Amino acid sequence: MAVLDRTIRRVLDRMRLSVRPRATANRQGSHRSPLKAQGVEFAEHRPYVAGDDVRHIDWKAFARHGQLVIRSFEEERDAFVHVLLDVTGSMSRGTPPKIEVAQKLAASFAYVGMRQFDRARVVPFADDLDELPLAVRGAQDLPALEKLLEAAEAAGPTNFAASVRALAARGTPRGLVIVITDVMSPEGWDEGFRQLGAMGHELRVVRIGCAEDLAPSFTGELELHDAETGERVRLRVTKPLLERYRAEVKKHLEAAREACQRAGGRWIEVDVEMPMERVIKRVFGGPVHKTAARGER
Amino acid sequence: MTFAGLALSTIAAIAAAIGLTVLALYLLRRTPRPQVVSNVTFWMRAAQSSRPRFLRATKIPWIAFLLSLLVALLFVGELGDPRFGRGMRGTTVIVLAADRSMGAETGGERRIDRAVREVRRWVDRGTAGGRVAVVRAGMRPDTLLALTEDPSDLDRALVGLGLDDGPADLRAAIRLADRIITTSGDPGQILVVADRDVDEALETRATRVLVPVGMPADTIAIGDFTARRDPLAAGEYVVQVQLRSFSSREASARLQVYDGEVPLLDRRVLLRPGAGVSYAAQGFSAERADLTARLTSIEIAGSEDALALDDVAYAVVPALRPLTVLYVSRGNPYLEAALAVHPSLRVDATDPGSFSARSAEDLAAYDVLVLDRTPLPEGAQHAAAVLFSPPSGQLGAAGDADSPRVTAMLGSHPALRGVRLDGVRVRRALRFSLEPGDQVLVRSGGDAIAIARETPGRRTVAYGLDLGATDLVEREAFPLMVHQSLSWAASVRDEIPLPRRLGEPLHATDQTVLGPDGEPVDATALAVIRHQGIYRVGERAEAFSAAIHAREIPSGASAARFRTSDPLPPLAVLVAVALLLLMLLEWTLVHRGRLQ
Repeated sequence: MAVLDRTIRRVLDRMRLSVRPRATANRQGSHRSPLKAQGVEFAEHRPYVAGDDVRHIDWKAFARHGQLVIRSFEEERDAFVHVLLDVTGSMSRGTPPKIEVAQKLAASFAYVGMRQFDRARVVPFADDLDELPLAVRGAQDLPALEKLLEAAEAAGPTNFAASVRALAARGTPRGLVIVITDVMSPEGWDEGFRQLGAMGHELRVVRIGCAEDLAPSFTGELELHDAETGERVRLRVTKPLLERYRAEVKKHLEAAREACQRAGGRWIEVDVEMPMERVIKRVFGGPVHKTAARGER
Repeated sequence: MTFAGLALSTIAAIAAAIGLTVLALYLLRRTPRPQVVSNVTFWMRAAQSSRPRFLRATKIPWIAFLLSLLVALLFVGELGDPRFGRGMRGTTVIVLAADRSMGAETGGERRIDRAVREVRRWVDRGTAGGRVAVVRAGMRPDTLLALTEDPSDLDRALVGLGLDDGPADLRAAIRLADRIITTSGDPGQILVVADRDVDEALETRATRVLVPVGMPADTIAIGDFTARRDPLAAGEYVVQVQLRSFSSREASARLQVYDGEVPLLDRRVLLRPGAGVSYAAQGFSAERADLTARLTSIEIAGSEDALALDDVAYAVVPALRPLTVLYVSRGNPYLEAALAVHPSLRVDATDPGSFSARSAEDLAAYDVLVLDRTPLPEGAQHAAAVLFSPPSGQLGAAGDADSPRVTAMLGSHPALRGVRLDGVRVRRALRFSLEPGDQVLVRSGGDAIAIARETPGRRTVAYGLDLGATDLVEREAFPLMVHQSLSWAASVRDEIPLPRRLGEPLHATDQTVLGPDGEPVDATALAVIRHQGIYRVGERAEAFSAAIHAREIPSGASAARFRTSDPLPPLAVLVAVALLLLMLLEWTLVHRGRLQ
């Protein structure tokens, strides 16, 4: 896989993608689910009620206590991993361009999901969504994913809320939604995050930043070209204006982060200049939910 | 530092060029540099929230452009005309010193060359807003350039500009300049471009400003150079040279005196600081002599001789011409012998009877009359006469002197030059009655026994001594007394031929005058002789020498202002260049991204 070289894959082989139990799917998998049924992980005893399978009666407990109790087990399910990849024009900025880092991260999430038998799907978005690609279930699906990522060019405006609405309209099953974006559009993030939370998805936002967005250094008479809309604005950029711009961007990002957290999501910051290994460790780190393959960690 | 003093058209052209440059730089500065950003919305929000209250950021470049243009144009104005905004327009008259000291050379440049450059600058500057005239301050001031508004007229006026060998009459030149300004009717100023200032007491209606040129300089000069016939040696002449050092250092030079091409004197002389020294040489014999004294190989410790003009001087020894004498006597061997010993006399003798019959025209053919005991007739018009014991007539005796003896003599009189009458015995002498202006040559007590009378166009010497009753005739002084009396009466025939002063006229009637270079001299130049040398009027030679004007080279009041050249470009040029560099630097900084 060209997007992920061997070094990155070696790092990814040690990573796991944890999903909250409520966000798991309905197939057998490696994630804890809230369901109590057949499984290998003992969950609890409960009183026998008529209709229960007599095979699950704990006869040893009946012998000790004289009461019929049923042994219940946690059911491990797989998960849907929806990677929403921002391919708007602003992702072309930075050195290296943010889109390159975003493509690697999207591939990484799909790769790790495939390894733990989840159904991962990378969905590029700009101001809308295209047809949903097939989920990656195995190594045979990686070439299609690579082709999808290579075809993703950073262009066009951002409408995250419309993209989320389109995602909902397509009946996307509940799962883990990873939004890889630079959040460099002023509107739509609060609504999109709120809707994702309302759909029962577990939300994880990976914001990719670059120095040009956060602390630009250019001054003088400038004609600013909007990388997404192509709009042109002529400004005499001075140091006070730069300070004001940084404050505006910081305020916007803080608002987006709070919206993410209100939707129960997790906000992760990375920078294009960070080494890829460090980026991967950061996005795959954080709170780990109990999984069937816990011992593998 | 000085200003460029450009013409109005040049100023306008420079102003337009600089204005366009400033505009171009402004437009370049205002040309935006493209910059792609992720989203311009955040920039617009920042711009709206950071807009200043009183002065919009977008207006600052426009204001900076106007200020830059204003400053640049002000500098152009200052560059072109230092009087910009100072109310000094009008008529400017430049007095250009053109005398001997302006030929002093220091650092390889003559003062006059520096002065001409100054004049050019001021003419260009003055014609930018008014009219300019140039007065040449030589020995006689004259107008070099009449009032004009065209600076190119100066080039035509400067053609053939030369220096006078004598001193400049700066006062007269300034008065002439003042009159020019007064008659022009405009306010104006007088610029004196010279190596010295004039007397502060000189009042002028117009403002007077000195533009000094020159630096302190040393010179060794010939202070005097004369040649005269030796009164004691007929046909010979004596040369005398006086040298002066106008330096505070030891100096030496080679003094050479030539008669034409023939060297008469060649010696090395040493001069102490500020000292003078004289050298005389005699025994030279020639029919006539054109003498030139030169100082060569001048060495001044730690300095150099700045002025070459004062290293040469001229003198002439006129040709000997026989003096025609009409000798009237009944016979006097002593007097005849005295006349006979003189080699330059041509004597015609006659008796008193024949003398009275001669006409005035006949007598006028003689240079001098010598009358022995013969009265000079009343009303006779001969210009020169030497009388011995005149009994009556003009300068007739008033009677006999009592107990005559020589008690006093006027040795300083030319008629008695070199004559000593000590111990002369006199047994009989006539005494003269004196008239106003008579000079008593020999006195016997209170009686005048020899007098000299000089009236316009006439000289007469009368001796009351009875040549037959004195031992004077046997003495060596007698022939000399006769000769000196003849010479004086014959009106400066053998006077010391002092060189003429520069600035005096040279009289020549219907004769071509040849100058020192052998070329005919224009008649208008004869009114004032400005250059030293030997002039020839027919057979006559006259020397005009500048040695009498030898003096220290003026260096002005302020040595700092007497620079021969500007070490730096004009101030306005420096400031303009600095301004341009600043603008370029600003543009480079603003557009540094584009230059990469």
